[in-house]
Amino acid sequence: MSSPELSLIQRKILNFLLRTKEAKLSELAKELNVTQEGLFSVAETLKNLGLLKIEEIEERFLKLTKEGKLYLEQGLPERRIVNLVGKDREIDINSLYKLGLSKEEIAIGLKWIKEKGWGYIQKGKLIVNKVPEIGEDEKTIQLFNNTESIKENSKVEKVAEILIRRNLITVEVKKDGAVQLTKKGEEEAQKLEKIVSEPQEIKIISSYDVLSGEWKKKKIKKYNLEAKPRKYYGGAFHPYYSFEEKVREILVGMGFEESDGPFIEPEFWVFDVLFQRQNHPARELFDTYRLKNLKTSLKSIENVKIVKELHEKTYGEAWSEDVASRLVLRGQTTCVSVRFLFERKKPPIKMFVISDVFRSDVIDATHHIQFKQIEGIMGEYGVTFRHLLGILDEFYKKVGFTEIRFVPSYFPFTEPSVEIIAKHEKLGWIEMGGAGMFRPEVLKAVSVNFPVAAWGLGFDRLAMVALGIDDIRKLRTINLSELRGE
Amino acid sequence: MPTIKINYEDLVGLIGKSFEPNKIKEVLPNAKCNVESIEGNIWILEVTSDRPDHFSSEGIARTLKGLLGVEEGLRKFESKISKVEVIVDESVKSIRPFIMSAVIDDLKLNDESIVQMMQLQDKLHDGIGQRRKLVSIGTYDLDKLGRRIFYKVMKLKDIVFVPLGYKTEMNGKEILDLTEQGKKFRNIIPNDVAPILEDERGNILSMPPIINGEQSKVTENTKNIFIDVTGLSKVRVEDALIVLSTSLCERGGSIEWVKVIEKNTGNVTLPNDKNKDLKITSKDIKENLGLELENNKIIKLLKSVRFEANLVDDEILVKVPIYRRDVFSNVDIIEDVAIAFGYNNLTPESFLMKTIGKPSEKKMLERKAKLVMIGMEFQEVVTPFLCSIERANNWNYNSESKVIELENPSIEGYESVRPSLIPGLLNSIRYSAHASLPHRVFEVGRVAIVMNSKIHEFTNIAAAISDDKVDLGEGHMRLFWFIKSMTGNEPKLEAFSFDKFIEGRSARIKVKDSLVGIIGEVNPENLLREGIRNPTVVWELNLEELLGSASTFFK
Repeated sequence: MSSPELSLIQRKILNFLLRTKEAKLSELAKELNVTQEGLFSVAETLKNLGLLKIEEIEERFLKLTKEGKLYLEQGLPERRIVNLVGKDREIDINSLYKLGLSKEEIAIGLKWIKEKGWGYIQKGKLIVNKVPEIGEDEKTIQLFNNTESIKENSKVEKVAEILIRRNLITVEVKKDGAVQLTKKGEEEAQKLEKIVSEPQEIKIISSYDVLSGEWKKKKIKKYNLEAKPRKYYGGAFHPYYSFEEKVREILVGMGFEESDGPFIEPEFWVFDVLFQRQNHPARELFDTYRLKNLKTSLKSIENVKIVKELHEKTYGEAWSEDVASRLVLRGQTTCVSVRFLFERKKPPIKMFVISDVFRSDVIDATHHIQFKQIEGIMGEYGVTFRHLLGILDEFYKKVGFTEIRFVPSYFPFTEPSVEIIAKHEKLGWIEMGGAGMFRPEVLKAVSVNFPVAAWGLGFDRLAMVALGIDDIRKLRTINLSELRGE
Repeated sequence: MPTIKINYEDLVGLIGKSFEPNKIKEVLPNAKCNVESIEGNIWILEVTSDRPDHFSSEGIARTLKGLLGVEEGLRKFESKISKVEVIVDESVKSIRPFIMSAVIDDLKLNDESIVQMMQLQDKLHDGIGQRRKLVSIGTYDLDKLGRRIFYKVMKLKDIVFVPLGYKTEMNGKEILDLTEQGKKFRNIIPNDVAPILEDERGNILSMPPIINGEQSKVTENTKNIFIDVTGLSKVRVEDALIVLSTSLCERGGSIEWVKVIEKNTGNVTLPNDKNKDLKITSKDIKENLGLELENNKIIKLLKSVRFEANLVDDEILVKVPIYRRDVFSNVDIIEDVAIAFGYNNLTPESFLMKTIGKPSEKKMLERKAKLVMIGMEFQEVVTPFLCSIERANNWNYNSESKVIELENPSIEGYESVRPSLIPGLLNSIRYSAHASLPHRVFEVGRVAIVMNSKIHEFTNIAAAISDDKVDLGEGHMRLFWFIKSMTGNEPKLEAFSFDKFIEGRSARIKVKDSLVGIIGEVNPENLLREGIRNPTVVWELNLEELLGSASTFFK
């Protein structure tokens, strides 16, 4: 771990301890002229850095109560009474009042005389055996002659207990800490020893300066407003994702709910449900990535039989379940749409996907093997091709294109099919993607009986235009210098 | 989609009326032909795979005639039964069972028409023919052949003829070994035998699907052409024969269908050249296109896209030309009506639907995870789902899982599916060698592995910190904060050794008894191998495992 730069007060603590080996926080606070509370957190930081050991200490201090203070001046009531007894060692209790003692003092005094065994009461008279010696309790009270408080120690502990019980003394608990350098701290302190001196003009105000008020005495250097900031790079979304969020927001705003599915799919969902004839060039290895030695079972999928019938009836060729169960990396997100329809089955449906697809290809400025599609479907009784054009028109206007055109196209799963081209100020007309109405065969394959408009638009092309990038490889850059604009 | 080359002069000649190139360019998209480039008279067009009749200029001209108003309605083809016969031996059954054949009479060929014919054959071979496996086509100068053609299987050594483009005779084995076509297509047929066509004089015409004979090749002097189409799929054999025959007829000439006679049974088959009949109504058009059209208008539009259309009791009876192999049901005709009407004449319309838009819960959780990472000053990166086999195996840290490989990788370094996001992050750090330190990167993305012979696809999150000085503690504290802010739980670390990490500086991450990921300081040896110069700590979590089922759509 790289050791952070220490503040002035931290350095001073290390320096002090290097000399004294061990110190109490209270001492340190006095030495450094800061409050003990403030010092505590500074010491805690040093402890977390592994430079200090702190042992917490609790100290008890004794203090006289108001009553205790009175007796310090006048003596304890029992002592005062005994002192009043004359040579005959007896006195009429009633006469005590005349001698200037209060009723309470007499009561307390008599109680303790009895308790201490100094004398006894007989027929209204107090009889004292002899003048008693000064007791430990009285000596203890006398200790407060010169000081406000006394640290509790074993010598006074027992007596103090009685005095506390008599409510003449109270206890105050003070927290402190014994601090000591660790080995690491010692090394650090030695290193720092030379540089403890305070700068005349300071650039940085330390916590020591704040706590001690020292900052007022110092000259603080003005910050150079012309200076370039120090290098700093915060965290950020990848621009590719930021654009995805933007598109997501538009589609959610248009009332679409989002879905997605696995990247790895059986050909069944990628091709067969979408009415792509088996043994078609698009299903060949030079277009679609297939997984080595891996297949899946279509047993649990209930529409396999329907798909088989549709293919065999229309194309006049045997349909192979084996081919349909081969696993591929999906080449389009339309498989998500048909899965969604098959699961939902009921209108109204407005669904979108922004996710990855894969094509066996090269990687250069205009080609990639992985890119994203913006997929969408809209299904409800009464939806027509013109509604499809309406949705596409609305979407591209929201993305920022003012002019779009529709060109006839071919996809095995839609009829009519359309390709969308949009006009860009600089780039001219750009191909944006394909769309169409799902063929009746596709709708049958997913057991849906209402029309469904569908589209699969190029996300990367749109992102490149929006982000002003002309090389598709830069779109997913992994270079921090580029991402930070360094 | 296939691309084809046509000659503008030839195309205009076939249309039979002169049009400016710009006019042709304007209507081509309505034939689903995209002009890719133009160089002089040579136009490169991208056509669609559903319209094999557009794989040569003859078919395109035929469609354009309708769109340009030169000739509308159904193109009818006069046909007869030819005197030529094909006799099929039973031996072909298990090797290449289907054959169909035709003769085109009275052709006037020139260089361009031969080029177009060859192009059409090539594109049919590649497309519906699956590179000759399912369908292959041979064309011959009929006047150099006998009238009885035998289709049978022979041993390679007994097949002897001069292959097309060669001067000397070869036997079947030599043809497979020495000719370019032989080498390219030999895997379609068995090792020791091959199907052949032979006339009654004992001349071997060809060895489908490999090569034709030189002796009967088509030249510009050829007047009558014999066509054979052989293959494994009867439907495709018929498709190819009809598309080729009808295209050739566009240059004059007429079709004679050839009887194919089974030698054993005497059964005769001929191609089906009947026009398909379909019925549509104006209601169909309205329901599909949202367009209200009068029957007369629909009929007019249909004629311009070369259908025959007649009103019969409020329904429109449509006859489909035989070369349109893509018309299966009404929607296929309705699209043509839309095209004839003009896609850009269809005004977009909105559809009011009561739905509530919402992002998926999974994507929102991913977003939350990303925000926590960004709060910790990490930069998001996006790396590919595919990586090299070596990298994938290196970072397949779960001992029970296997790496998924592609059967057909197209680029070196992208041969398998990533089992972990870590190699991508290390790659990012490597590519960021010139960016100032520290490097803090993360990715939220999918990984996949095989476990218990089943595919498992997960969404993971991984983070890497690379700096002048960095240790597990740097990673640990951020991991702790990430899990705490995402779940409220505190992760525990559990001893784990993995050779890509420094011994004693790696761990499994456990949250409430479930293992959710790993963390470790990358072994310096491994760092150097990855081209990274600074110490690097990484961690990776399975987000779905961490956050529960809400984050998944995989069952």
